[in-house]
Amino acid sequence: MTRPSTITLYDFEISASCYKVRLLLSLLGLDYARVAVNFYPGFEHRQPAFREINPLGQLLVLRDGDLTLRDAQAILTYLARKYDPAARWLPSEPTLFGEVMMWLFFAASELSAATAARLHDILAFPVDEASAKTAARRAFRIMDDAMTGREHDGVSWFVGEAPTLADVALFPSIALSRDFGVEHDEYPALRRWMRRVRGLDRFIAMPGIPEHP
Amino acid sequence: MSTDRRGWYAVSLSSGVPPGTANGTHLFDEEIVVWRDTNGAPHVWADRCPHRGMRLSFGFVRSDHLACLYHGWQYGSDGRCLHIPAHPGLRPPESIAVWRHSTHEALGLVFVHFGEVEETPALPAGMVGREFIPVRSIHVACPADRLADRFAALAITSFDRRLEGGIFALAATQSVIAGAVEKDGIGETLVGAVQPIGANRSALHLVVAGNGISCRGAPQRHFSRTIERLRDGIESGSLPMTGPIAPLH
Amino acid sequence: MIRTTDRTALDQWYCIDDLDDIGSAPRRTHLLGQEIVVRRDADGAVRVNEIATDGSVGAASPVEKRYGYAWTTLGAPARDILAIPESHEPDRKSVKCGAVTVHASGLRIVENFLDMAHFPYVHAEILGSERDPEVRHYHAEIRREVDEVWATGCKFFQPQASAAATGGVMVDYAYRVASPFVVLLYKTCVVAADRSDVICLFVQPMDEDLCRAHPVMFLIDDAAPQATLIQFQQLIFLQDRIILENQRPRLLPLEPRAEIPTRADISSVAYRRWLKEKGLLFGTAEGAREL
Repeated sequence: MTRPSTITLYDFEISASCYKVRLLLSLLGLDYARVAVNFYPGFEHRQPAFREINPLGQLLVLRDGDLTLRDAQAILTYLARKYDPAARWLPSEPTLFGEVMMWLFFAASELSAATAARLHDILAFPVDEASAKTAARRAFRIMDDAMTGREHDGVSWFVGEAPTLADVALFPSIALSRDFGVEHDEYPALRRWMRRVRGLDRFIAMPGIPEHP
Repeated sequence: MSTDRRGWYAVSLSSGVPPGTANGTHLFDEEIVVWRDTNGAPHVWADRCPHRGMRLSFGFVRSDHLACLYHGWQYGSDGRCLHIPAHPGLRPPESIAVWRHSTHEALGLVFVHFGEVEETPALPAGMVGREFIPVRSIHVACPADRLADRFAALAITSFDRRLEGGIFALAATQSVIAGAVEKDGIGETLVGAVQPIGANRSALHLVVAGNGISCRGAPQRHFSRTIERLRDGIESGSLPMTGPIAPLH
Repeated sequence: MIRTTDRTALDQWYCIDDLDDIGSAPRRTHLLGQEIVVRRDADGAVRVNEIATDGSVGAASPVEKRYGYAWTTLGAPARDILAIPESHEPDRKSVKCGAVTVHASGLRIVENFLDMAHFPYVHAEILGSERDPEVRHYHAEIRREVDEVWATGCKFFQPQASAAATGGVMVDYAYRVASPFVVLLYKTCVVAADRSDVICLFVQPMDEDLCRAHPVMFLIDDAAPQATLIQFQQLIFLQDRIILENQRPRLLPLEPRAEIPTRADISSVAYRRWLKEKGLLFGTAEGAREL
């Protein structure tokens, strides 16, 4: 990590979305400054001062020099495009690119229920718990069916033959599912895939994802 | 315990628990941990560290022992505690041990015995010495006996050509179903073993016995997709609960 | 949920909400299986009422304001809410870290708070390291004169003892259980070596296997920003939460032979014995109702 850092991450330690970005920053070997935002109990992200940075009043924001970006998936694609010249994490080849984007949008939409269920169970956020958990399970099942097919094809990652942003974007929600009472036993292909992700060089964990000494 | 639960049940594909890994699952609502040491031996234990009750399935495998995630207590393959990190010089008393289940590995599956121990299971004729290719483990929100029955009905109509062989039981409840599938002249035997997880949840562990090269790729995907349709049909109620099933592909 | 009949549990004060969060809008929660509602009335006073089984607002419960929180009781406590003299020191910074919900018995949560042997595994390279996992001898006792459980003389090497720490230090700990669901620790302050930081966990048992834990710290004035201090504590507690939710049985067994302690566990042994002497059933395996 020798690059002088221009990156600042507005961060909440136990947020799954912030972790997603921290994970990619680590995988890319990037230094960055962390600014702790009092998401809870302070709800600082909804305050006027923070809305200057993100008018949506949502936590996850990354600054790089003059650039300010919100949205986890947008941040992932920016970091990959800017700092991975070999285009391993965000392939240029159209088919692979399309598949990565498909999973990024899946992570943004279908896995938002998992994020909500987790915030409900940990921080008592008002969420329709039953429907969030049902939707999360449905999304995990789609992921497991897909990864099962990938393994039958002889490949180990969601897109192509190497890890991409698709794996990074999909990992946190299922890895943290025990935080909201969803076990991994029903998703055996994902269980194997999660081990592969945890074995990546410069992988970092967070609470809820057991790190084995 | 009611006697009709006694018997051998598949709890994992062999490939589902690679060396050095530990997974949690359930058998009749009991939490169990399935793990494999780095020598390749599978173990199925109660999913509970005797120290403070932490589930061992969250733990980590180092060579031939399983360590608990809470305090790092290490258990050897005989279930006995070998090492307590908080007291490095202490030899743990023999009484500190994890409850172990009888385990047997065959047909590309890990079996555990529920109830009083019996001899190793008698396998169906024609299975010995064959290579078993994993297809998948799939969970279905229905009781085990319904899953077994619907899988057997599926096997009769949905797989190519005639079904030979039959349904054989390793327990009083049907736990293993085998169907022989003739595909382009290469005989494959599809074996499905049902795991009763809870009252309304079970798993089907599927392997194919046959020629290793011909069974990988397209055949795995074919069986896997068919079983997905079975799962979705059972859970949505679109499949009949008894009687024949129209082909699912 | 069903309101408990366990008198030992009912006759205690419980922390139920952060005063900064209580406004005129009613906030519903549970305590010992009883649904309650918390709000401020027109004069700004905090009111707590039980919610009857038909959903109507029922009897009022006593309210005390301590340490930035609202406390209430459903019974008749023999003693006042615990005293924390350090909290009144003028150079102390009060850091409320936000309630966290845990699907576990509150007694398991308190016991985990007392435990050091898990530092190298659950809080690896922060509060402990596998390179030095030994729990050295310490002292644990039930102090009859105050009816509290104390552990003293505890020492542990910590790679990162606090948010502000910049290297490993040997940390001294003392632990204090002031009532069955109220625990706090005193640990060497990185900034002022002759004083202790105070870290409290006020557990609100909503049901036998479901709690809200209210963590609050009283720290010697620290240069670190409030958000950083809070998130360090949240990180530690979330590392514990995945353990707490996966202990079996969920309820704490008080029978000595149910689980196997070692010398490192003498504080938990004292705690369990103390709970048994009190006749506490709520949250224990022995007192379990059909859940």
